[in-house]
Amino acid sequence: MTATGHWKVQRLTAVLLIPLTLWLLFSVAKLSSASYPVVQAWITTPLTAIFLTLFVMIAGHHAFLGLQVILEDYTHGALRKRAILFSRMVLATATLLSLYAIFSITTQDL
Amino acid sequence: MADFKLPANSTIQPGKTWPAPDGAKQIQRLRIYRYNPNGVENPRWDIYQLDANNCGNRVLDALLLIKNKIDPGLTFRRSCREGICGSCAMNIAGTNTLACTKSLDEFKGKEITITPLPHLNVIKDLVPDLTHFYKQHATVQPWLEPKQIPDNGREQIQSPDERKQLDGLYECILCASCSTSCPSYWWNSDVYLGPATLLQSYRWIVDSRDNRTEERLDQMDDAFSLYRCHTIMNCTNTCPKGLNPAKAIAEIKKQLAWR
Repeated sequence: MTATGHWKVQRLTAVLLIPLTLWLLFSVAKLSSASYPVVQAWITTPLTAIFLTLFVMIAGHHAFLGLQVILEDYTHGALRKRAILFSRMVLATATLLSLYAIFSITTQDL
Repeated sequence: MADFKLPANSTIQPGKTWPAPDGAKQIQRLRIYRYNPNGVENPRWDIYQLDANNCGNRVLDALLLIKNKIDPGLTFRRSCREGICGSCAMNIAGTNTLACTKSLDEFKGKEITITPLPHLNVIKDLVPDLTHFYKQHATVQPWLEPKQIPDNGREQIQSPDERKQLDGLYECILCASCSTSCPSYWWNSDVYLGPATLLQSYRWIVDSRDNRTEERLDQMDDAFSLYRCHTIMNCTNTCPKGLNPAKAIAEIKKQLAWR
């Protein structure tokens, strides 16, 4: 990706995250004292599952772009590349685990 | 990692306090950074005291008075004494500015701390090494590459509106106050061009007579030359000419994003 592409996608994901994060915060607050089956039923609703998947993927990508910028600022030399690669591995793992969690909850028997 | 602390040989020690002149009524104290990198001593703070009634009303007047009457060893750059050459850029009371346009009255007799422009190698006292800064300026090819020579062989015509685009850009005197106030430039000046050079680059990008806009933009489309700017805005806050380098950088980003 060109530097301009990186800059544009970082802003695009930031804008998309505004409604998604607000939606997630309100939903989680509403379910704060709900039992596991209620939360599971909520996550299993198709629309919720789609929004959650979108949130995880967009937040993961935004974090991946943002961390790269921070590491480019504050690390130098050989450390820079290694640190960026390491941050990518950590974020890819976290994103995949989150997606797997959504998948396994939605496919669990109610 | 970024340097958050001065190296041991750069820690500033207390220096000499020069006595106030006899019979001085209104004493102005100046605390000035002194350093000779060729010597063995660490940098030091020297304190000078002068009679404000005997001195012009700019910081540069005070520096000249010190050099002429108190301590000829004090080293600083100056030339035009009217804010157009950019030579006397230094950090005065925590802000990069021009000594020749900064008024002494602003300090109301309080002690003024003066250091060289931040995060540059010091040649001596208040004189920083600007070699790399000038090299970076040269990389953006700061000259007009004309579209075509007019048929009549005379000047290139520019409309008043096209000329207006250059206002707020052509006034830059390359004093380096903005670039050396920018944390991104401190951490990555080897690869980030810095606000002064980017404002200069934009000055040619928007010039209606210039034909190299695309190449100029291509040149900056990497992770470091331009995109180390995180709109910290120190450049705009500090510019002694009242220009807005942050806006010029934002305009370059817009042109890159929408082309």
